[in-house]
Amino acid sequence: MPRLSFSLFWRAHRVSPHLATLLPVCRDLISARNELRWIRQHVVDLMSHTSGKTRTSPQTKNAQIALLTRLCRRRGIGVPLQYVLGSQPFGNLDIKCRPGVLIPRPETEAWVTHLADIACRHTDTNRAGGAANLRVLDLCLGSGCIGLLLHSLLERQFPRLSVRGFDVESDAVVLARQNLVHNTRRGLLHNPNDSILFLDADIFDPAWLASLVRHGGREHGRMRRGPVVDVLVSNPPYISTRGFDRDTERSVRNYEPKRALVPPPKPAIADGKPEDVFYVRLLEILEVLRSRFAVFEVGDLEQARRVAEMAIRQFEGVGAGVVKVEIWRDWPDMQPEEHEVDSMEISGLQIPVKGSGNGRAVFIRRAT
Amino acid sequence: MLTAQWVCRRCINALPRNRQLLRLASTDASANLPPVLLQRARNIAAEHDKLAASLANDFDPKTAKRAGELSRVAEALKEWEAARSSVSELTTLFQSQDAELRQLAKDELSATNAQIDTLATALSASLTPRDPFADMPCLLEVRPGPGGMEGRYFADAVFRMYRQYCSRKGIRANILKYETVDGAESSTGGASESPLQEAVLEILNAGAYDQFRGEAGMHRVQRVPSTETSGRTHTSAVAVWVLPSFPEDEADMPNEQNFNDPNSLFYVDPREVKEEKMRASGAGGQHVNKTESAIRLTHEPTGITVSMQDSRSQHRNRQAAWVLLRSRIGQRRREEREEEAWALRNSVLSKDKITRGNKIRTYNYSQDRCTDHRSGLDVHNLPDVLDGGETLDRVMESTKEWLVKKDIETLIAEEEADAAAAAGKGAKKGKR
Ligand SMILES: C[S@@+](CC[C@H](N)C(=O)[O-])C[C@H]1O[C@@H](n2cnc3c(N)ncnc32)[C@H](O)[C@@H]1O
Repeated sequence: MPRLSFSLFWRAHRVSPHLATLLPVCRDLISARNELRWIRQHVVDLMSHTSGKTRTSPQTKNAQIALLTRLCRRRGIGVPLQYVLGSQPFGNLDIKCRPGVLIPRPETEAWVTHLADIACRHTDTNRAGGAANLRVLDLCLGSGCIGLLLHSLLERQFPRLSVRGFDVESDAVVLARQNLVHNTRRGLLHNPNDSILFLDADIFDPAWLASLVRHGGREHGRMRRGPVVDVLVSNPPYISTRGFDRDTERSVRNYEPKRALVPPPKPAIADGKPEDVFYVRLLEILEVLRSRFAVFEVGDLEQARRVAEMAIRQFEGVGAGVVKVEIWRDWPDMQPEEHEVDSMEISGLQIPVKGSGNGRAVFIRRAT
Repeated sequence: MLTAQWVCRRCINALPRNRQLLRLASTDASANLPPVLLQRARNIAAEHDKLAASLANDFDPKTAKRAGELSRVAEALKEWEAARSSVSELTTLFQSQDAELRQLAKDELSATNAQIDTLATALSASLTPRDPFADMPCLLEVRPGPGGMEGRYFADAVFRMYRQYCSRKGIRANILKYETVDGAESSTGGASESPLQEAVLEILNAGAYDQFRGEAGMHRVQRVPSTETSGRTHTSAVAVWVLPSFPEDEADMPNEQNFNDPNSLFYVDPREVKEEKMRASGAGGQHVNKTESAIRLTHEPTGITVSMQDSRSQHRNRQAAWVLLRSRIGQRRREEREEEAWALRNSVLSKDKITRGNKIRTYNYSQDRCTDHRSGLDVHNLPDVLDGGETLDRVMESTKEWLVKKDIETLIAEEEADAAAAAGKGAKKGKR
């Protein structure tokens, strides 16, 4: 990283010493100023909550300054802002963040919103019984951000919506549940009859998948050939060991849980790359659950291509045109830039690449 | 004699007995309600009654809507006429032999006369075209005028004034944008102020546009800035814009201003908007956790740009940016439309148009005074004004009355011009 110029420091310091503290992590004045404003706002909110008064006494003023200084220092040494403030907005939700659980990313927010739009548009809610009970499954929950946002975006259109989520780390499941309660309490989410359920599970565990199918089948009284889950989503660990050392930001490397980012070595896949193991499993799960929509987040366009290819191979048998695969970029509803291709040939098929930015997700749609 | 028209027969009978009262009744009515307006009101009421009658037989939503629009005028006219006829009835009571009754009538009459004033104004106001945005929520934008930090500090004070005003009145509002420039806080007149670049308050109540539209214009401040060592008074200005905005629930949208309808003033074709996002450089996704949420929208046909970086969420910044962009475009289109209309008429009417450059209000700190230049109202207790207190109510109220008065004057001028044109045509025809 290039060194910051002295004059920049001097300018920051003249405005506020806090700004100078934030400058090394933020790298430029504009983002340092934004972060300082958010930290300030956080301090004011915290204090007005605890004291409940509008007028600030000199003591609270001093306490505020002390807290502000402490938070800026923490941020200044590289702690992610979301851990410093304890939260990150995600769509219309407020997601609590804690060390040990991955921070929700804006790219994830973008594809989740895009998916919700598609699910609304492509589901005939008038069809008897069919659409009212959309079942969503979020694997590799983390903070629960994906499942919760989908619920909040879809609950109006699907009165009998249900969301299930699983994570192998109980810290994540605990946080996801807290986020459920937190957002329900703020009225951002409605959770009648426990339509949202977050549980511990290792998605590689065959017994877990078997019980999921049994449970899903029983819900309808008899085993059916239709989908067990309508929407399957996952943002699994997808960074390679090399990519972790080389491409991640320092505050990611130093402060976020590596187990959420880099898949553990699994000998299971013969020819594939180790960072793709989760997709192999997710596609198996998808085949069993017969979901109408699936979105898996990926690390870049290359990985997107590999996952799309795996998906095409996996569903070759089901018949032409039944399964459609798309690749979404970071901002799927934005106009692509000139140099960004809008389709790719994969296994002899022309696969659409939607939006603008890095390759970010693989979307798989199955006609029912 | 124009006034003669307004005196009914029974009043004339009363003439010998009470000259003074008669004069009062007639001049008041005529001063407040020129014949052109009364004629117009009667025409509208007649149309309304016809529509209402036809609705009774067979209901048609279109007719019902039109009747609904006209009912405001019809109601106002009815009330005014009722008051007028009770004046004449009271006046006949002056012939009564009973002294007590005469006294009673006299008291009643002066009360009714006072009422007629208000009713006449209400009737005139009901005739003025309703602002197409009147029922909408609004955005209130505050920006410093050109030159100097002092304008920026005062802009912050003005923004705070409206925020406090809303919170005191229980008006739902949220800060859509609040951007300052580098510089220390200052405290002039007790409150701490930051150097403002631009701030936007979204006022969510229906009808907020009508409530705040009178606030648009240049607000001037005269005071000694806290940074000024020589004690010299500075004059600077702050611009306030009031833009129509949208209800949270689209179903509540009044006036067919739906922004998904290509005919709406607010329709924006997404293909004409360039969206630029601040992006985490490099791989993005799980690789990066820095919050880079800034967004900029450019509406290419008009060149209007909006940038937003208030929230940590890009998603929210984007929503807020779209709200602001739509409002600005809608307002611009409307101004263009009105500009055209004014140019077409080429009349005196445009003289009083509130342009953005006009100075509408002065806040003078050393004299503890706030003056509204349109209504001419002077109030003291400046701190209460700037706190959004009841003194500000009085100022805003006076502005609103001024706006109504202006609208009525415009209407009269228009009606008289139309009448003259019609008469001219008639005369020409006659000659031929
Ligand atoms: C990249 S994080 C995604 C978190 C969250 N969904 C989001 O988008 O912010 C991946 C998550 O997968 C979980 N995970 C890792 N291995 C897992 C496994 N075998 N079964 C279930 N979850 C696993 C990690 O604990 C981590 O919370």
